Amino acid sequence: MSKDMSCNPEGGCACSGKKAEAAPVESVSSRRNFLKSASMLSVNSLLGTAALMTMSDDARANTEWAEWFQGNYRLMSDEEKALARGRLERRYSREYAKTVIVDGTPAQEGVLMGYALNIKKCIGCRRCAKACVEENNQSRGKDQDMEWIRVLKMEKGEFSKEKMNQGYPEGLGIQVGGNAYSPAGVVLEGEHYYQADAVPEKDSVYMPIACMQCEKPPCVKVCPVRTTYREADGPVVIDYNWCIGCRMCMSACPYWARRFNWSDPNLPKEAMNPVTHYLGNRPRMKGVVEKCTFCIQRTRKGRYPACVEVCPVGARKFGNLLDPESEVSRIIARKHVFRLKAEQNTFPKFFYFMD
Amino acid sequence: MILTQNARLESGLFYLLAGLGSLVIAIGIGTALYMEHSGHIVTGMNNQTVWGLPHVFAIFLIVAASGVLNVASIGSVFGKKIYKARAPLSGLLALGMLAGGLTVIMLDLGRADRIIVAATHFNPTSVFGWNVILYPGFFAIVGIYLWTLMERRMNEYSHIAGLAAFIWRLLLTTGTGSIFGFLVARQGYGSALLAPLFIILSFAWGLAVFFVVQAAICVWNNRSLQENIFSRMRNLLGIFVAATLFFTAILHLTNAYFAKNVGFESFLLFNSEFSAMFWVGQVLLGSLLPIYLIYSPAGNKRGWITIASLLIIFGAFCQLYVFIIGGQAYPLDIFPGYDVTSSFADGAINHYTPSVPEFFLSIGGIGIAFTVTVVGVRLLRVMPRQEALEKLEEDDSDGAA
Repeated sequence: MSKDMSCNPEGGCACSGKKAEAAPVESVSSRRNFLKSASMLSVNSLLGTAALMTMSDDARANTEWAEWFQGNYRLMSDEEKALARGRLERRYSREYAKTVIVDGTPAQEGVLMGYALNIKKCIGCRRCAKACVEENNQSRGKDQDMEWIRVLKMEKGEFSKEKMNQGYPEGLGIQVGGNAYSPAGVVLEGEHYYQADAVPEKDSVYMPIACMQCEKPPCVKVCPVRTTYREADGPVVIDYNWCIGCRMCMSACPYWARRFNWSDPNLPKEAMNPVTHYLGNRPRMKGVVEKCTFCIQRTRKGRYPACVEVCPVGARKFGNLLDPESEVSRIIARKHVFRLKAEQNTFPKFFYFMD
Repeated sequence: MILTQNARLESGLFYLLAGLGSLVIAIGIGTALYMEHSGHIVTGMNNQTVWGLPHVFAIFLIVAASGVLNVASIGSVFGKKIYKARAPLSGLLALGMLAGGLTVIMLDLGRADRIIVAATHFNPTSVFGWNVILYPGFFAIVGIYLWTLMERRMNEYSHIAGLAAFIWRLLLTTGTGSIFGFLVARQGYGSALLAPLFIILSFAWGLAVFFVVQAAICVWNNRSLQENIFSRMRNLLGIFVAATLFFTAILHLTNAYFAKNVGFESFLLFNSEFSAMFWVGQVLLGSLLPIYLIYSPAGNKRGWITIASLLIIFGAFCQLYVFIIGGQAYPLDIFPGYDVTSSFADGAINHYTPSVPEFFLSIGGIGIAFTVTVVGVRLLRVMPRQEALEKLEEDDSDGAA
């Protein structure tokens, strides 16, 4: 160290030279004091916040405090999982004034869940969407409604002779299904929700969509904290407690199958379904993402998903893809089957078929 | 006597600016608490437009943060001494802006209280996850770099620290661009071009921010920028802005070449609320006019270059708004060629309107960057001294000759 920059043991710098060089000494001192004060302030703020949160007498706050510290469900031991579910059962039972079960039945060996939907049979009644809302404790209300199943309506005759003038180039009559200069496949303005008096409507076809439970799910790839993952028996699930709400998965999903809780879900006590699964239909909180799980709370108990049960025309089929005799396996083997956006190679386990 | 008065005035101005910055931060934090309490329903975001105005601001701050470090890199990595004198300011700005951008991103999470989960758990397949490593890494490396610059004993390590910071900032901007580049679902994203585009955007935006901050500090300290450094930085800014325009054109032309994306490009560039923002905000005011100001005779005047820099920053916000919001507003084309309607707004253009809380949260990030810079400039004395600069300018000219 040069003589000019030597420091004395008391901490002050004894810089020799001109008087004007006193300024840097003051600068170092104030910088040190500033950093010290800032560190103290940060530590005290954190300790204060922690103290306030832990000393609460509110039972709900204490439960949530314990939930806050629990790990990723996927990595928990069986005991930790049981504890986590027990906490939730107590909290939900208190909140909804009924005995709520939070099941944790794990994936069954030798099972790969698959779904098949007959698009020729679907009449667009949307009973499936309503049953899904009721079964899976989805939020209701004007601004908070949530549906995991969407039923798309498309017009028959999209490629009919009358529409030939919508071809490409414009007016030359070469049919490509819409005018290529104005976005095809998109309703720019107009009715976004179909409100039919009776279904099926004349000249309409219907296409229900939900989570495709991909074998190579883009949503799982992009999740920064691995809160969403594919279970061994097929469904892609979410540990709602572990979700940070970054919404990457929503942007990554090619099927627009994920929904975000923009506020506290509006789930009336009397309408709450008390038979739940940790990774399925248990009540969610604001700020987390949710989606269809193939009704994991039902299907792992050998039941059909609610949408399959409610479909009045039997368009929906569900079963074990690893069992060649299951209904869904037989459909895949014998019918004309396709998957949405197959070119993405996400390998959905949701198949569409026609008789 | 006059010196004391000037010092008092400077001190008063410092407290005024620091107070103003703190007030903006307080508004941002207050808004974040309000959003935490009410949920994101108080924003204009929805299930289609899942990222809104806070992301526009946050990504601007993050991208420009890495770009603003270029001034330091030119000095330390490429040996231009006159830039090295500005390296501490460049590093400080980078840290301040990254802090602002990251804070906004974190507070916009659905569960901001769970950020500890993101910080301590890592998914190697998630580009967002990579950024959880890239951003704190940037803080650490730039912090060390600043230390090597400002602590005389460590000066000899500044070259290697500067090189590390330069490589890291390239990785960071690649990571930010790739958040969108790796999204296959949306037609506006999913392109390998986004990583280099974001790198060049960071060069332009970062230098524009540096110009504005440098001009403000010069006014504050009653100094003037030397002609040599001014002219070099001005030319560099012009090249960077021209390059951003080139990459942007390639991105849209490539996209429009594929028939499947014609609808999206047509929507974005000609048939939506984003079209004017693209052509007028991003291209005309944010790129072409600044290039004209830089290379026309007006470019010799410092005031016009400051205006050009402000226009570039304005264009940056327009570009990010068009890219982020416009890219989400267009619905997923699940059934190409069909008109679809559904029970959940399928096939519909989403009209996102930013809410007041979103705006307040967003400017909170600007407040953080501003306050860190003001406090840092005052406490760390990062501005080079006039006489030292003149000597460096002479050395640099000799070296160049």
